[in-house]
Amino acid sequence: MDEGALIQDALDGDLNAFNTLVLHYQDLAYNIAFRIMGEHAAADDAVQEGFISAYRKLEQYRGGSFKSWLLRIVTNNCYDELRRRQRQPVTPLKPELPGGETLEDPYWIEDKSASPEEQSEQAELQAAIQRCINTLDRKFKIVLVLVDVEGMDYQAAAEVAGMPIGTVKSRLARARERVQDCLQGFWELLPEIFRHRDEETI
Amino acid sequence: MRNERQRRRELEQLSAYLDGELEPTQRQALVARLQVEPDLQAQLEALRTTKQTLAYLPRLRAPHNYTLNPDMVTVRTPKRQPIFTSLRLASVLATVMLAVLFGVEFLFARGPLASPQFAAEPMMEAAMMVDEAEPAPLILWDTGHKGGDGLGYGMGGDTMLMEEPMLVEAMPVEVEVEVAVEAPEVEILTDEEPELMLEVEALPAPEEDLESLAMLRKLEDDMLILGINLEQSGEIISRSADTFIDEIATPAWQMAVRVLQGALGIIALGAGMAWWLLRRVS
Repeated sequence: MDEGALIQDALDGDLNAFNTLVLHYQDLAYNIAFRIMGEHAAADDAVQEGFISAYRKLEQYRGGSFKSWLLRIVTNNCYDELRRRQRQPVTPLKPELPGGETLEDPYWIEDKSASPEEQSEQAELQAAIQRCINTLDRKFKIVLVLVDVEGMDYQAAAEVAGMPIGTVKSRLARARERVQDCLQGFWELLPEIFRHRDEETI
Repeated sequence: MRNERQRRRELEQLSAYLDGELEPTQRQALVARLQVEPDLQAQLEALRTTKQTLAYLPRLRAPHNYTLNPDMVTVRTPKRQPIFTSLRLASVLATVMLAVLFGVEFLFARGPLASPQFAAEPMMEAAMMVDEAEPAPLILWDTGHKGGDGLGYGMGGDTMLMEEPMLVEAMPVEVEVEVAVEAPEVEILTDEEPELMLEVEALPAPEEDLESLAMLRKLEDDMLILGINLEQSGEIISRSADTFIDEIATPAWQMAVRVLQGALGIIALGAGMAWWLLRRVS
């Protein structure tokens, strides 16, 4: 995929060229948005609005990593929504699991090879991790999701989050510490390999 | 306080060490400490477990495609509607220019900036110019001989064409005054005045009637005579005369201004109406 050519075509009004970029990045954008927002509907809105904003603001793209530029728009949408919710708390209509996830969320059926019991355990663990992420302040959350969930390095995370690398480093450490404390409440849900290791260290 | 700051600094170094983002010198120093400090080692392992646990989260796929379509982009964009804007702008501009033109015309044609040439009332001036330029009004009157009603013209043989009958009628009056002042003998002439008048009236010969008729027909052809105003001394009303008055009354620049005013008025009204209708429809 020639990203530069697609961007130029999109700038010339070719919506299909932009949609090629959308198809390439939509999974990544949705995954980040979901981990930050903690629910499907909000992540869906953030991603859709993000792509629309990106198309409108494409003239403002000044080179560099298009991926970082696009994800920054999506994460900014997530930030705005979280800030709005902080001011005006909302109660979801659909019943949610303790992790803030609904039964319709797609990752419940992610591992089709596992038995129903294993699937249930996986789901509970994932819900527990997500719940711990949800407890974080939004300024820690984004860094944790970008580095530990998406596997970005500090430089890329700094570009997406729009902050210096030093800030990423310090916030990430504190976020990990808080998630670590949170996960203590779900000790029995952790995979066996982690339990053994932690039992040895503890 | 100092311990908390030191603890946080150690935490940052451990976290960065896990990610391979620590500076080489700091890394060497930390590795040396980890070999001799079990608590620090345990802290590192707890962080590693947390990191691995977070990485345990599966990568989610988008539940549907987020591709854009033209409707989404146009609907969500507060698109400016150039047709509305253009029509409204055209209407406003035309109205403003129309007002300016009216003002300019007023100032230069009738206002304080009017030149002496156009200071007077245009129609009065035109009338004066017409009086000077136009030949004496033509009248038709009855000669009293050969029968007929005496009021018709063109087709009858009993009419004659003369210029300025008032002069003819005034002459006897002047004669009367002179006679009354200078010599009594002239009173005899005064008594003969009706006869003189008759003689004067009888002057045109029948041959001249035919000639006058021919002139009248020629005049009809040339001047497009519309009729005769019997109440105003039989003045001939012709279309060519009206046209002549208009041409004299309105200077070229005023004609141009009026044409421009008309065009601007049409634009102002048309654009305004179109804008209003389109807005109602949409």
